[in-house]
Amino acid sequence: MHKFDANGSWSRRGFLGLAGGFGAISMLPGIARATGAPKRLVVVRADGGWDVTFCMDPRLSSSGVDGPDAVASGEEIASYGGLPIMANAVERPNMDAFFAAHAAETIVINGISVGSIVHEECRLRIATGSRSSTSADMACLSAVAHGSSETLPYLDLTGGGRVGPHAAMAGSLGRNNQILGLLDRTLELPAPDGATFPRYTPQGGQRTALDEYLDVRRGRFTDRLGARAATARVDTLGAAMDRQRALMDSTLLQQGLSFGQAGSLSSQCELAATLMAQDFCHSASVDSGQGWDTHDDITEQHGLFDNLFVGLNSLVDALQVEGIWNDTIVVVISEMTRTPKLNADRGKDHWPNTSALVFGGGLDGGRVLGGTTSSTLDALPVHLESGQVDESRDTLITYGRFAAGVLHAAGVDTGVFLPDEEVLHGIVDG
Amino acid sequence: MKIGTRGVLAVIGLSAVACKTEAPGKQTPPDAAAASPLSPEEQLVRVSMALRGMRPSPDDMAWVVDDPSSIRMLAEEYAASEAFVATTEDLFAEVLRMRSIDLALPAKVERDDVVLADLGTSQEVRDALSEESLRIVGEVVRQDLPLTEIVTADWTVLDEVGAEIWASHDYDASVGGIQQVSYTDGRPTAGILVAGSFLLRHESNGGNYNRGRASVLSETFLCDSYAERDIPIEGDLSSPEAVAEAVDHNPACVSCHQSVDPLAAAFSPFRQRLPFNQVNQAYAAGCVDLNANQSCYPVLMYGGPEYHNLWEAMELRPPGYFGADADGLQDIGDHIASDPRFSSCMARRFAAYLTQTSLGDVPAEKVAELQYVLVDNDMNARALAVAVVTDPDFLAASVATDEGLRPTELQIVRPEQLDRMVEDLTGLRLLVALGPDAGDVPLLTNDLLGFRAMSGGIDGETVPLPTHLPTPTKLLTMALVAEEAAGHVVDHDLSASSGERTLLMSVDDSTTDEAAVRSELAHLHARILGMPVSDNSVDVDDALVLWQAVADIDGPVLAWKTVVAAMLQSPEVLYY
Repeated sequence: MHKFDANGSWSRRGFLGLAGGFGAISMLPGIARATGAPKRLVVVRADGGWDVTFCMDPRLSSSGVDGPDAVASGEEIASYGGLPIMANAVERPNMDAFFAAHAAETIVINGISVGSIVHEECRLRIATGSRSSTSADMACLSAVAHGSSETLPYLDLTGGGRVGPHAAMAGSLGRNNQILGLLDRTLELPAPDGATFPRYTPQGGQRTALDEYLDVRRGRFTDRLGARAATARVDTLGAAMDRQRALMDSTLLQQGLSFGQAGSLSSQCELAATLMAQDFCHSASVDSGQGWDTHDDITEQHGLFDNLFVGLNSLVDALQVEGIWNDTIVVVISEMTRTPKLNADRGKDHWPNTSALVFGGGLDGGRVLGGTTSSTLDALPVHLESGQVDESRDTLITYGRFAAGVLHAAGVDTGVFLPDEEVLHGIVDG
Repeated sequence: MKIGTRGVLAVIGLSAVACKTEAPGKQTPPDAAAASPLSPEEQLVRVSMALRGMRPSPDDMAWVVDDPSSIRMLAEEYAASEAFVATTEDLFAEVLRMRSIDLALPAKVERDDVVLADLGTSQEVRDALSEESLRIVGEVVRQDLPLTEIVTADWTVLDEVGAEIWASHDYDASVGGIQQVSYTDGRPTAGILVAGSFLLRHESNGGNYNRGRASVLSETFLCDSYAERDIPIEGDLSSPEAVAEAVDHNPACVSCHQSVDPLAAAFSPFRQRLPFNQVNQAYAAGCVDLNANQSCYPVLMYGGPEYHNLWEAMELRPPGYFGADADGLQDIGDHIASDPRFSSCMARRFAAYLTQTSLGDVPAEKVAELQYVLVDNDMNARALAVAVVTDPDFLAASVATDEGLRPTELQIVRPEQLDRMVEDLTGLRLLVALGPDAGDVPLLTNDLLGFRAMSGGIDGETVPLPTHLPTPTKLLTMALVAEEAAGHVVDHDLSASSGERTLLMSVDDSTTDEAAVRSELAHLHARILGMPVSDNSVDVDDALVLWQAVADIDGPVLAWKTVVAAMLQSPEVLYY
């Protein structure tokens, strides 16, 4: 496997693009508080809007809230190592298993205000800590900060990762792992009209000569451009070319994927852990692969949560097997939670705050940060240093403060990437 | 000299376009003289790629080198092409997110080994669903109709599969193909807004009461996004009843709902959702009762006049348009057409797409200039696009700013452009055959097994914005496409007579004479890279080194394949 060295230089070829990028970053203002040791970051997405009362912000039914007990028997608020969790061993056994095993290493963050009830807008905000559509998500920023030596610093297994200006450091595998079609030219893809793939693929010396030609052409191209070569779209070409070739040279992805088949959450998690352990990538995003937008039937949240925790259990196992459990922070997010009360279809609609799970990375778990009102699930203000609810303050855990807190916990200088955001220090310092 | 012929063609095709493309009172900025234009060849490549996604022909290149002022006439010619129609469809596919990876309905319904419905392949169904609304846009452009027709037209455009999916139209099955058709159910005439595919893509959940559709309408056609606004929670909003009360009386809610709800109410007579499984369930129920019948093919999307006041039964605000009366979607479409925000928004959207600029980053003064061009040319899309791509800033290597000269960003080839360009250059459109049920899937414009989002495009769902940067997977995609296209075109051309060739012009499979190879390489530079170079240029020297290295070992055929593959993934193809 080819690797980049500690200075961000490709061992076989030049690695010019990133040097410029990091040079620019180092000139930005710093932050007041030192960041912790660099951690890997895995972001698990549950797109569509989970109902947090089924899990980490437990509520039994009251006048203001229809809890899970309104639609299922056996619900109880149980304590797992100090974490209050809505438990139902029949409906959500894998959730029960997760917290029974890992509550002491898990932080629950409730009452994260996303300020919107529009899926796409909320996804942007909770993933990036920003309202700008050109912002990069937390996993990407972690890779940019710490992953320069990996083959593909940010591995996006969701297909919907946000990379902003850091696209040269990121890659998606495609909805059905079709990246294999790009990497493995021996794949016999069927072509119409009797044609066969590949029609031509350079072999041996042809590939070498072709790569040398492209390197020469890139030099002539940038020479011709003059000052325009320093513009963002051209400046990252060298880095993208080097990573393209590193991907072609690596066989790791080809060993772990099947063309035309979307990976389950568990398989995504196992792949991410394997690739991080082998320094193929620094961070990853994975997807629950389920639609959580349960307007019509809230009982679907049982299965959604249980399947999610099947994957999370696999992820913890994989990180432990690979020996990177203490170096890897896992963040589980969904863009919003659902209304406190059931609608006419016995489903629930959109609600403008959410919760998150944060675990691994040697974090001190067994804690709940933030909170929501008992009757309306509105976000409550907190003391950002501790993360504890403090109704004498007016500081909510906004999506920006949450993302800054996660990045801070992962050892990322938030003063560089989210300079205008206060940090939810409670994740690591509480 | 061919100028005469071209001039006639341009005038005939674009009589309404080739004028009035500069705003009144527009003055040259004081520092404009300091800005440096691109070379005529670079300008032509940029204009051709932006408008068509194709390289200019060698003849066009020679013409613009000979007469740089011909760039506008060539732009008008390109805007009159079918490729520009495709470009506008691509633009609206991105805006409306119609080419969604998840937009699908059953292609075949079977029960107890009996085929109850068989529309075609799943890819054909996807195409029918994603393209109907975009073909309305395409037809508006093709026929030089005002862009306002997009929201006022009393017709839609269906292919054979779409005609089987949707009810209530006068598609002529005996003719087949893609047809402009009228509705037969008396639905409001409002262009895209009443098209089945638009309503399917932008569905409404029960408690949403079409507000999502209203939001899309506002964002798409007025560039006014409700979705980006914050939702303040003040007071008890914990139940549907509390929400209903708040949207009428809570000031924080009323600020948006007083305008979005009346837009939403106009969608009342239209079906809110058509989940994939609902079609299967309807057939399972025998298509006999009313609800099941509506969900069997052809699907009913319009309930009829008796549903126009459904908003009233739901205790919602009546239809309206930002304070003006409106009796339904037909009135809404008319209001949009006469709203100056529409022309401003279209100007902004065309400029943003064609220059690969974020919507909000298009300068307001530029939007104002383009809006004037659009309005003054009867809302003609071609005139607007020509004005965008012939703007001096778009054709400059650097522009003057208060801080001095600023180098301009290069454009980066989109997957849809790469698809058209490679087919134009080599005759190959990269498809993968997935069998009789799935059909043939285009690899550059599909995300289920293709590489659209992986090469910078959007997937219409989880990837809502394009990436205009080189990425590892974009370069991998370009390499695959380049190699496949090279294999195809070299095999084809070296076995074809000179008149039937696509790319290679003069060599054969045994040509090794250096002068002949150099001449062919120079031709490839002009055709693929848009770079007219001499046979003895350093660029041809580079290519000759590659050609010779392969030819010495593997022979001329593989040498040509390697050279063409290399040139098709060179920086001059990635950027323009």
